[in-house]
Amino acid sequence: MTAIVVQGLRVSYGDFEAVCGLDLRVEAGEVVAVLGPNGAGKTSTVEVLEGFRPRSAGHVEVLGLDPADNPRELKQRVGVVLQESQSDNYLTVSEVLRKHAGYYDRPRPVAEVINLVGLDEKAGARVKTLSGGQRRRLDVGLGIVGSPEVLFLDEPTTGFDPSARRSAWDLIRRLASEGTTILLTTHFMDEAQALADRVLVMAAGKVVAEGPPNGLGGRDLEGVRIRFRAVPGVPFAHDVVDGVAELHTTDEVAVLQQLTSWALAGGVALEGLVVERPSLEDIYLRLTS
Amino acid sequence: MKLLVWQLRWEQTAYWRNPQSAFFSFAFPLMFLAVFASLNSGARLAEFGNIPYNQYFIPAILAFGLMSACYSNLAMGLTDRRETGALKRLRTTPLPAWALVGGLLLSSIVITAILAVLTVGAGVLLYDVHLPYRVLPLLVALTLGAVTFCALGIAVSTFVSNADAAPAIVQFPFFLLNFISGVFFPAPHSGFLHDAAQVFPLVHLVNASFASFDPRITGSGFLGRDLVILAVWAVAATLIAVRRFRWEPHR
Repeated sequence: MTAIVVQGLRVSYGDFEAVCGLDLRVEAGEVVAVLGPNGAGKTSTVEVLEGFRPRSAGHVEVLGLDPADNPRELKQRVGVVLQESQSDNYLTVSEVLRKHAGYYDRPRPVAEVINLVGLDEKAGARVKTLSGGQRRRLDVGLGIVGSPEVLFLDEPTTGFDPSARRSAWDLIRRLASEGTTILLTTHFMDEAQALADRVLVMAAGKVVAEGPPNGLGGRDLEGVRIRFRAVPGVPFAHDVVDGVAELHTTDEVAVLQQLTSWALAGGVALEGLVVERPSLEDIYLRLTS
Repeated sequence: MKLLVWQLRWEQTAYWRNPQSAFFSFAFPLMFLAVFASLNSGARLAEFGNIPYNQYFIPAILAFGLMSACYSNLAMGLTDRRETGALKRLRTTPLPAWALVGGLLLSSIVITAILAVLTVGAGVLLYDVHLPYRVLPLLVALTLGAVTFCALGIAVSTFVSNADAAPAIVQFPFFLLNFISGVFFPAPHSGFLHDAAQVFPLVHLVNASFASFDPRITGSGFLGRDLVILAVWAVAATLIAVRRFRWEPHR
């Protein structure tokens, strides 16, 4: 089953077109990350899917329903974690979750949600007293308390410290393993790499690349870069940048064997030897610049 | 129905834990009550057949408290919830809009009822005020007043785009209206301020509440003209609120 279908989506604000003809299909159970710089149209796209933003053109379906009609059934089955929101300052964490659980036909047990988002110690604390990161975790908890089939996460780990990020990733992986379809927007390449089955890179309202994180932009076919402190007499064509020799190849096994044989034979140290594939970040910067 | 009770329960829990809202809805009107009722404890009102001032003032200050609990509370509270993204987040849940607004309205009515008991109780026990001569007309006036001023509060919140500006924009008409609508002393019987006050709902709520406390009362105690004007305001404010309501913050 296809969870999300978007065809020819356009969103304009006055004369400015934030999304210009976007196509997207997300299968049930898939985790898709939307990457892109600020103003690329990520949030506009997600807000159309959430039913907040009117579209100027295109066909949109979430679980077979059009979010623009604001159907209650969709809200029962979809969870949303917005970029920032705060409320219910005077209720405790478990009270806020209980209140929201009351809106859904099949809520997840509140104690389980609290545990999943790692707020056990704060269950009885008023929302007012939570730190920024804890509030964010509560936001995630509110997004999943209705046991959603589809979950929209808008920059879910912004403002998290590294260990909170790892726990959030574990949570997202767990939800994915339970079969939840997840569409997340993020600025972080490592997040997309760690979580997504598929990455969509947006720039200026369009999808500029799409694919599994490892194959994005032909990254898997592009070969590797070998670097070491520049020394005279290297038997391969290479560039020298700031005293570092750099050579590119798609046949790294053979090249490395010849290079290291040459070095061993001549007693050359090859200081700082690195073999690297272009990172998702390199690809991203190239695609969006 | 279950959802309404659910909303009411959580609105009330949060309300009583917020020192600010409890202060504005209770401390303020009760303080005015104590000050004005004590200052004027021997005074009589010639224009109302020489009845004691406090027999008039208690229902009038009740109207003040009602307007604060319903109008000010909702206008500022909803602006704050919208601008902090709380309403937008609620919009992502299956909670229907009518249950949200219904919960707020019921919660305001509960607060008004508690305030009414405290106000009338203080008047009777401390200031020799006679219990209302008619009960049903008083309850009708207060309920219609609560609906009207809740609707007005929601309508006004749609005109405030910035939570920091809310207290000024919301409270300015509140105090102006209270001074010209006969809350602290009977409203003038003619002139520009009289005519201006007649246009707005507060003076009609004061009239309708006072009618039940007026010792000279004869007949049912329902002031048809005042109730109709309140109802017209309720309908107008509801139309504006429904038309202009937004879930998302400005910014």
